[in-house]
Formats: sequence, C-alpha cells, structure tokens
Amino acid sequence: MVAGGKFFESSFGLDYHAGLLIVSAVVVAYTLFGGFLAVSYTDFLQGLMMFIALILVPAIGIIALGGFGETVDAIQAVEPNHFSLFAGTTVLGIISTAAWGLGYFGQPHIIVRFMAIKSAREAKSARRIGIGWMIFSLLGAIATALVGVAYFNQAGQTPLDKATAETVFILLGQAVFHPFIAGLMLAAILAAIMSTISSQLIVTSSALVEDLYKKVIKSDAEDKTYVLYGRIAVLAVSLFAGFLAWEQNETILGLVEFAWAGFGASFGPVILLSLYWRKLTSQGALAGMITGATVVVVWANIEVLKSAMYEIVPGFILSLIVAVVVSIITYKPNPAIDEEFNETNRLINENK
Amino acid sequence: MSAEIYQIIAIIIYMVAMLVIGYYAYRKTTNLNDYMLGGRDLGPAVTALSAGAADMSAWLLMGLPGAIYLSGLTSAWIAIGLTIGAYLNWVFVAPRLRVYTEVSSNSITIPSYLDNRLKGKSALLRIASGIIILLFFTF
Repeated sequence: MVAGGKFFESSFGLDYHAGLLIVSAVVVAYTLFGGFLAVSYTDFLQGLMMFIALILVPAIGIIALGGFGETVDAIQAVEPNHFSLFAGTTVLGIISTAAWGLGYFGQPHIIVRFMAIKSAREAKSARRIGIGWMIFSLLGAIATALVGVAYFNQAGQTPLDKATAETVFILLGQAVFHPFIAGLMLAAILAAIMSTISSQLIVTSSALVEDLYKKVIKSDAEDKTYVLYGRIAVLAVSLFAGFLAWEQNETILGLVEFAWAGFGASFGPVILLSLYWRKLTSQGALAGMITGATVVVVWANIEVLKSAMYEIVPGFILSLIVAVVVSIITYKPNPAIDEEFNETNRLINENK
Repeated sequence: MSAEIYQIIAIIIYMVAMLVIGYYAYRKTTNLNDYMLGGRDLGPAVTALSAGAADMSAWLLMGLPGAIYLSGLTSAWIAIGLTIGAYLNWVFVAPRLRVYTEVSSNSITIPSYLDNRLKGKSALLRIASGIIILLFFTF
C-alpha cells in the first residue's frame, strides 16, 4: 500500500495520502466482493499488462535508438561496465541476493495459486506459461534500464541519480509513447502493486476466517456466514494495513524483503518436508516454523549480520534442521497419515 | 489535451476494468471454497499469470530497472535467483500441493493443510501458522 501512495506522489504530484486512498479503495472493493476469483482474474489481466509494458517500452526504445547493435554500442559508450555480471560484487554478495529464490516455497499468496488449479496435470503447462512470463518480464525490466542509459544520454538529458533511477521505466515510456499509451504503461505499475496487495489480502482473510475464527471460536456456522466473515476480514485487514501505511515510515523494498524472508524461512522448509517426507510431525513443523520466523526477525534487526547476508539464508537452514530433528524425536507411526501420503503418490503418478 | 489528462484517462479506464472484473467474480461466488480458492477450477494460463503478478510487485517495474540503471547487470543476480526459485517451486511444490491439499480433508488454506496433513492433537500448529500469516502480511 505504501507503494500505491508513492506511485501517485511521484507520477502526478498527487498527495501521498490521496494516492494511498485511491489505490486501496479499488483493491479492497474488488477483493472484498469478488474474493479469490476476482483476485485471480484481475491478477491475470494485470500480469498481462505488466508483460506487454515491459516488452514494448524497451522495444520501442531500441527502435528509436536505431536498432539493437546501435543500442548496445550506445550503452557501452556511456557505461562500459554495465554488461558485466560481476563488476563490483563479491561471491557472498551474489549468494545473498540470489538467495531470494529460496523464499518461493513458503509464500502463502503464491503457493495458494497452486491449490486452485483445475488439476495437477495442468501444472506443467501452467509452469511453462508462468516461467516464460517471468523470464520475458525480467529481461524486459533489465532491457528497459539499459535502453534508458543510452536513450537519456542521446537525448542530452542529465542521467538519473539514486533518487530518481527507479522511475526509468516511467520516463522512458513517457519519452517514446503518446501520452495515452504512456498512461497505460503507468497503469501497469499500478497493476503490479495492486495484484500483490489483493493476493495478500485474500490470503490473510482466509487465515483469519478458516484458521483462526473457525478453529478457535465457532466451527458450525453456515457457509454463507463464513463468506460474509471473509469479506469483513478483508475490510478489517485493509483498514489496519492502511493505518500502518499512513505514516510512510519504511522504504518499499525494505518491507517486501522482510516479509519475503519471514514466509520463506517459516513456511518454506515445512511445506517442502510435508510434501516429500512422510515422517514430518506436527511438533516438528511447529518448532521449525517458529525457529524460521524468530531467526528472520532477530537477524534482520542486527546490522552486522543483516549487511553480511540476507536473513532468509540462516532462517531457512535453521528452520529446516529444527523441523527434521524435532520430527525424528517425536515421530509415531500413524496409518491415516501413511494412507494419505500413499494416495497422494498414487494420484501424482496417475497424473504424470 | 495535456499529457497528464491522457494519462489520467488511461488509469481511470484501468481502474474501472478492475472493478468490472470484481463485480463479475462477485456474481460467480457462492460458497467459502469459491471465495477463498475459486472453487479449484482455474485454467493454467490464469493460474500462471496470476501467480506471477501476485509475486511481482512494483519492484519489477521500478526497483529492478532502477538498480540495473545504476549498477548494470551486477544487479541481475536477484532476477536469476528468483527465476530458479520460481521454476523449482512449479516443479516440486505445485502439482503435489494441489493433490495433497485435496486428499487431506480438502484443505483450502496453508495452515489448514498443515493441520490436516500432520494430524497433530492440538490446533496449535494451525493457529500459529495463521498468526504468522497475519503478522508478516500486515506489518
């Protein structure tokens, strides 16, 4: 939500709070009423917008610069080191940043999508589409920045600095497109922000209703009532998150980085073990989760450790070790668990 | 018309489109399984792109290009790590989690899946994982 406010502030000079309110109102409206289906369909369209925008902006930029070869030459003339993967970095630095990839197995708002797919058989084509989308989007984002280096130089503009570099996509879009198309490119940024917020809202609402309310307070109400509570939970969580975002006290990446590590370390090892290791126990999972969450919170708040290594690495490893050790100690055979495990194996083989 | 007006029109069109989709989904939602999991009936393209869009925030269009602009491909390692992680997630977690969550008492959330899968005596695991979700997403 912080990102939504900042977006309007930087692209239209609109007040941070007004931007925050507009973005939140639209996201909350479609999430609250439409639920997971609305989140999925809007995310689909938003993903498409992001993809198209990230391909078009650098492509038109390259054409404007006279072609691919000319663009590469022009970039090298300004920033000769920009094509090196290793300039000014260390092995530890590379490991620490590439370790973001470890976080995927534990992100609730991402893996919940896997649970909603029609059948396991469809996962393969979904994987191809998903990874294809990701690779081209990432390459587009990288190309946008590199084309920007050459384009602004040729246009005789002063290069962007630390404070403005993040707007390279917006500025390049505005430079090469008609303002209406540039507006759609701006909407793609909003799409990226809103698709993440809506997915997190629906997952948080489901945890509140299905796992906390139903389990702790009342488990025999009608289904319709729970849908209503789900909607109320979406509203409550967004009001609370909006309240926290109001003061704008954190950088965007800082917030994302911390939550990503938190989920990656607390849920990632437990999810993997639960899927592939029969002997994981409830106590092992609980101990692993708490270890992962605690290590991330502590590590991220100690400056020396934080600057040496991204907190997800120690959190993930320790969580994994604790989950395995505690499970071995507490393991008792349970036929019901074995039966489900075997049934899952059977269905997976059938759906290959 | 000034450039800014055009851009505002584009953004309004986008916002209205999102609300229309929300209304359409509202009409199709009848029970809790629909509301929380879309009735487990989504096709591969919607699943793939919606997982991608949910994953990628403004970082993709602002943070990453900004870092590359300043320091070049040295900043691409995070993109490489993320792509490998996402690929492994699709291979190892996606199909098995889809099957296992349905086999284990048709679980519709991650905490309920862990609870049903591991069959612990107390509800502690489910409650603790629900609280972790609440904490990391809201703070």
